[in-house]
Amino acid sequence: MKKKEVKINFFYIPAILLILLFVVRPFCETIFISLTKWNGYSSDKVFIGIKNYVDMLKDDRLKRAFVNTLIYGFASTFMQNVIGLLIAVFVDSRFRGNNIIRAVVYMPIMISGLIMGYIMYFFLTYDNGVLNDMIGIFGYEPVDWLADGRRGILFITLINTWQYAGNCMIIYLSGIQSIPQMYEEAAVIDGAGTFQRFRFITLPLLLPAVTTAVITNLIGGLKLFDGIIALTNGGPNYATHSMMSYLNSQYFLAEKAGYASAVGISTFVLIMVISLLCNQYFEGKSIEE
Amino acid sequence: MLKKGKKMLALGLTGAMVMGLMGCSNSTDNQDAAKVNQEETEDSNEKSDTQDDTKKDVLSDNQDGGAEVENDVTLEVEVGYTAEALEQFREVIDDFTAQTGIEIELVTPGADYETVMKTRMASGDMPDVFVTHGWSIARYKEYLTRLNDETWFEKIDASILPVVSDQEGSIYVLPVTQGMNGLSYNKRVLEDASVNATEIQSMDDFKEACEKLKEKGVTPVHIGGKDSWTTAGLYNVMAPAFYTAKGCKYPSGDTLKDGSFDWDANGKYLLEEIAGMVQAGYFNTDFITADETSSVIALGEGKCAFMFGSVGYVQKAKAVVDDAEIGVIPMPSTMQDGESQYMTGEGSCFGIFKDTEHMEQAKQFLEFLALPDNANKIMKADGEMPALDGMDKEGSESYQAYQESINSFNVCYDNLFDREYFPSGMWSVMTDAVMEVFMDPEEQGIDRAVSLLKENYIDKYEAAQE
Repeated sequence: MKKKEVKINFFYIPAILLILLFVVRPFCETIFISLTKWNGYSSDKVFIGIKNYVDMLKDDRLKRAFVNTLIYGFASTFMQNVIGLLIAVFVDSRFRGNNIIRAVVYMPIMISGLIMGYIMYFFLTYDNGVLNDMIGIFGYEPVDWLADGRRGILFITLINTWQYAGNCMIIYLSGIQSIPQMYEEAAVIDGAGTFQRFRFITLPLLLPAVTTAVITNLIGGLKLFDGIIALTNGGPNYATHSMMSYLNSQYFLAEKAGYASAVGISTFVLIMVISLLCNQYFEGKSIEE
Repeated sequence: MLKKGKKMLALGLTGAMVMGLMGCSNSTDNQDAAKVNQEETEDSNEKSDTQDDTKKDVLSDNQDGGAEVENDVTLEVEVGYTAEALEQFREVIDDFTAQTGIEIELVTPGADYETVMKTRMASGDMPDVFVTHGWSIARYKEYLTRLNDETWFEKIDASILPVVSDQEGSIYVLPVTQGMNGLSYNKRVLEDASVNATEIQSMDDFKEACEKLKEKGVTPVHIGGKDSWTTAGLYNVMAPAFYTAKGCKYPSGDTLKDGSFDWDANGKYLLEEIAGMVQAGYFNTDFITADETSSVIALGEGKCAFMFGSVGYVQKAKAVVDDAEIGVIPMPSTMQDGESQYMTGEGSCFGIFKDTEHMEQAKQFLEFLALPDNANKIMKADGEMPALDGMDKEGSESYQAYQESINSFNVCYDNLFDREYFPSGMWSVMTDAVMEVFMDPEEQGIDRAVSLLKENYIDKYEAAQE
C-alpha cells in the first residue's frame, strides 16, 4: 500500500493562527478562570479547584436554565425545520408572488435578535402592548404575558422559531432544487402520487440539507442569548434564562466570573456533545448517491 | 478523512460560538500588568503630585489661548449617556475640540456601560477619561489618578465631597453632578387624592397615603421590575429607613460595615415591608415585567403617584409630559420621630486612567468640564443636581424640587446604602432578593430572600477582606 503523501497547505496557516489566538487561547484561559474565584475585573484570582463545578450541581437556577436551554434548542429546531420545509416545498412550486413569500419569510433573520426581542417586548407588554390592545377589542382584560415564566419560555421559543424559520426554508429550498428532476419523472411514470414522491424521493434526498438545517438551528437555539435579554432579561426571577444568558448574569451582574466560566465550559461541552451526536445520527441515515 | 474533517469543523464552529461570549473577557498577562500597575499606583500618584504645579500653569496658559500642551492627540472618553443626554454631551466635547484642538473619541456603550467597563478593567485596556457611575472609590480607585490638586477641587460641593473621597481624603474624579435618592411624586395626583406630601414623615404616613391613592384608583408606586436596577434601587432607597438613618427602627450601620450584621434576626424587616406593599397592592399590576421607562411615563402622565430612586426622575418625567408637576421627598423614617433621609451619590463624575499617555490633555479636559457653562450643560443632560460651586442651581429642576422639600422634613444625609454598607457586587443580589419577595410575598419568599442576601453578603465581605 502506497503511503499517503503529507502535504501542508500554507493557506491554512492564517486561519489556524486566528483560531489559536481567538478560540483556543481564550478557551484555555476560560478553563483556568473556571477553577478560580474572581469578580471579573480585579487583579486577584483565588484558585479553588473544581469548587465552581461542584457548586453548579447545587444551583437550582442553573438547573432551570439548563432545562430552558434544551427547550429553546430542541423545540425551536423542530418547529423551524417543519415550518421551513413546508414553506420551501410551497414556494418551490411556480406561482405568482412566491418570491415575495420567500422574502417575507426570510426577512426576520435580517433583524438582530436583540432588536427582535425589544419589538416583541412592546408587543407583549401589559400596558399599551399590541396583544393586549387586540384582545381588548374582544372585551378581554389585559394580561401580563411575561409575568409567568412558562409563558415567557413559550414566547421566547415561538419568537426564535419565527425569526429563524426562514433560514431552514432557504436551506431546504436549495436542497429541493438540487434534486435531479429525473427521479421525480421516473416516480410519476411509476404512478407515484404527490405525497409518495415527497416521502420516498424528496425527503431522503434532502437529508444532507436536513443535517445542515438541524445542526445550525440547534446550535443557535442552545446558545440563545440576545432575544432573552431583550424580552424578559431572564426573568421573572430567573425563570426564562438560558445557560448563555445565565452565564452573562453571573459574570457581569453577580460578579462571579469563575463560576460563570465554569457554566461556559459546561455549555460548550453540552453543545459540542449534542452537535456531534446529531451529526453522527444524520450521517448514519444519509444516502450515498 | 472527510467525515473527520467535518467533525473538526463542527467542533471548531461550536467552540467559536460558545467562546464568543466568554473569550475576550480577560487576559492573564493583562491581569499581571494590572497587578503591577496597582503596585505602581502610589509611585505614579506621587509623581503626578510633584508635577501638578507646573501642569496647572500649562493648563491655565492653554485656556488663555497658549499652546504649551500638545494638542495633536485623541482622548478616548467613555460615558454611559444615551439619546438626548448623549447629544448634549457631544456639544460639550465639540466645544472642547474647537477650543483646544484635542480630538475626543467618544465611546458610548449605553446600558452595557458597566459590563464594558468591567471587561476593560479585566483586560487593563481603560479609556483615558471615563464616568465612574457611583464607584470611583470602591471599584475604580486603583485605576484612577488622584485629583486633589486640580484647580476645580475647591469648588466641589461639601455634600458630595465625602462620597467621592477615600479614607485619606483623596479624590479621583471630577464630580460635575451628584445623584440624590428619595421618592419622586406627581403633585397633581397627590392633590387629587387629598394627600399632602410634606406630611409623609414616616412609613405609616406613607402607607396611609398609598391607601388614599388606591381608593382614588391610582397606582401608588410604579416599579419597572424587568430592569434589574429598579428592584435593587427599591431596596437601596428603603434600607436606610430601617437600618442606618438617624432614629431608624433597627439601627445596624456599624454591624453592616464590620460584617457582623445578624441577617437571621434583622435581615427580614425591610423585606417584610416590601412583601406587605405587594400584598396591599401598592405596586403597578405589571411590576415584574414593566421597564423603567414605563415607570417614568406613568409618573409623568399621572398614572402613578410615586417612584423610588433618583431625584433625576423629575426631569425625566417632565421630558415625557411638559407640564407635569413633579416633586421629591426624602425616604420616610420607620419611626414617627426618626429622621427622613436623602441618599447622596455620584452623578456625572469623570476620572482619568492613571496610566493614560495623555495625562495633561485629560486634566485639561476635566478642567474644561468643570467650567460652569459646560458643567451646566452636563447637568441638563443627566438631570441630576449640581456638584460644583458656581453652577446654575436654578436651572436644575431636580435641585429645585429638592430645595422645595427640605424645609418640610427633618432630613439626614448619607451615601447610597450599598456603597456605604455592603461589599461590592451586592447590587444584583439586592435585585434577586426583592424579586424573590415580588414573586412570593409570603414567609417562604422572604426567607429565601434573606438567605440570598446573607450568603452573598458574607461571601463578598470575606472576599473584600482577603
